[in-house]
Amino acid sequence: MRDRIFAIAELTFRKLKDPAFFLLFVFAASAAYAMSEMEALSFQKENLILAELISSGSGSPPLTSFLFITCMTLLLAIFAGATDIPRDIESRMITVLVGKPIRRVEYLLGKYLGVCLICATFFTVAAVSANVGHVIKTGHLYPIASIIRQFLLIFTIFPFVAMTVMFSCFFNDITAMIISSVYLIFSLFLSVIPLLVEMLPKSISITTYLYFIYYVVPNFLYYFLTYRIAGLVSIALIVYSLSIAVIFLTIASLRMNSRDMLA
Amino acid sequence: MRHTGRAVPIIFATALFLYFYSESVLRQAALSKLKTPKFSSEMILSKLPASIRNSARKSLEIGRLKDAVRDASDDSEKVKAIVNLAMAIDNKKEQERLYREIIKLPQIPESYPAYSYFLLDARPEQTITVQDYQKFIGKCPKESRFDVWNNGLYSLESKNAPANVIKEYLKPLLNEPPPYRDYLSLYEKITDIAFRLGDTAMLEKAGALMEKAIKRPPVFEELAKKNEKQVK
Repeated sequence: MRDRIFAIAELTFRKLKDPAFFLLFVFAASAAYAMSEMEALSFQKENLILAELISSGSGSPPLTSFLFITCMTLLLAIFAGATDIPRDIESRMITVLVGKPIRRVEYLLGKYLGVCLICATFFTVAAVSANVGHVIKTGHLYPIASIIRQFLLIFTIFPFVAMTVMFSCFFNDITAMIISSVYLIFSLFLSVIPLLVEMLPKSISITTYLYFIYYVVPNFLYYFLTYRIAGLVSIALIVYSLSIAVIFLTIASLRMNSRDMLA
Repeated sequence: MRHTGRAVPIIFATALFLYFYSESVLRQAALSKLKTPKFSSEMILSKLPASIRNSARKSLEIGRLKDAVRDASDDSEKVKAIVNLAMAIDNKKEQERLYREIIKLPQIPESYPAYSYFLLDARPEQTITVQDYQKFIGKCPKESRFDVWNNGLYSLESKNAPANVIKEYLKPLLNEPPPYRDYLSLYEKITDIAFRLGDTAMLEKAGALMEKAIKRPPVFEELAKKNEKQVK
């Protein structure tokens, strides 16, 4: 089973040879290099709550250049994750693949891992470029704890790719891309609201539909908090990412198993 | 295949549990940064979407009003606090319970929302008759009466009371000169009803009182003078 999943993942990963992907990699590396001198992510006084959430506390804060890299990676995840399965279905490639002794779930997991691998490679290339740029421009390396902290942003990939892959199992490529983008914007918009509601005194009872919506979208704000690398928050963040990915992939696998691939 | 069938719900349930658990850890970590005196309730509310903000403000306001009821030192203060609370609450049952509580307390002018609420109520055990309500108005100070009259009229109209009942209700107004200009609207109502019922005597009387009412000062002027005197 594992070999078959990896075979599909490898097949997906080979798409990196595509000139479009190559150009995107070059652009990300150059942009990350250019932004490598930027300091820790900070906000103006008008955004005191966001500033307090992201910058306060002990530990390493996220860097602005890595916020950019993460955004670019998520953009790539939308393109790669939302288009692969619908295109395989349209081109009937999927019937060739799942006709072999490969189960639909294995195909789905292979695709997921392949897209994750593309995004992780993209993130790593840009991150290395940002680090190299920082060394060249300032003459010293980021502190090791800070580098590890920035690399933890890579965990945004897992739930997000799972989500785009899930949408691609339900819709065609363009629709899946649009829905994934809207979903991302929506999750960013909602991220602070439940925290603010919890900060109000307990005597204020607010029952809102937003709570329900909040729980069905990943809160990407958590990835940008300042926290100690070796601590409960890091572990919770990893568990959070993987559990959301599993939830989305389970829904996607149910859809894949019930879907008529010839329709 | 049977294994897969069983595994999917188990994996899904485990993932859900881990999701909620890890989310709560992350939420607490985020909240620990925000629970500082820098962030007042009002500041947090201003950052929330309007729908939540209004709901939270209302909740805060109701909390304050409940505190005022609890802290009331005498019956008069208690009535005022309960009236304010009842008017702020949306829950009809709770509102009715509060109005019932007001009726049990000594009568003060501020109790009028409770009396107008039960005015000609369909349930005989808690109904307030038109005569009782008129007696209640008679006990109120001159400058408060207009609001009480008006509230009673609104209550009758919202209960679709027949024209002759409204006529009976407003009739005492024809026996006294109008104290304020605000009474114009009540006399207009009387002329409207008198016209519909064909009561020309009432129509003429109301018309004459309307002319007198125009020449009277508005209630707010009287209240402002009273306040000024109190300040001095």
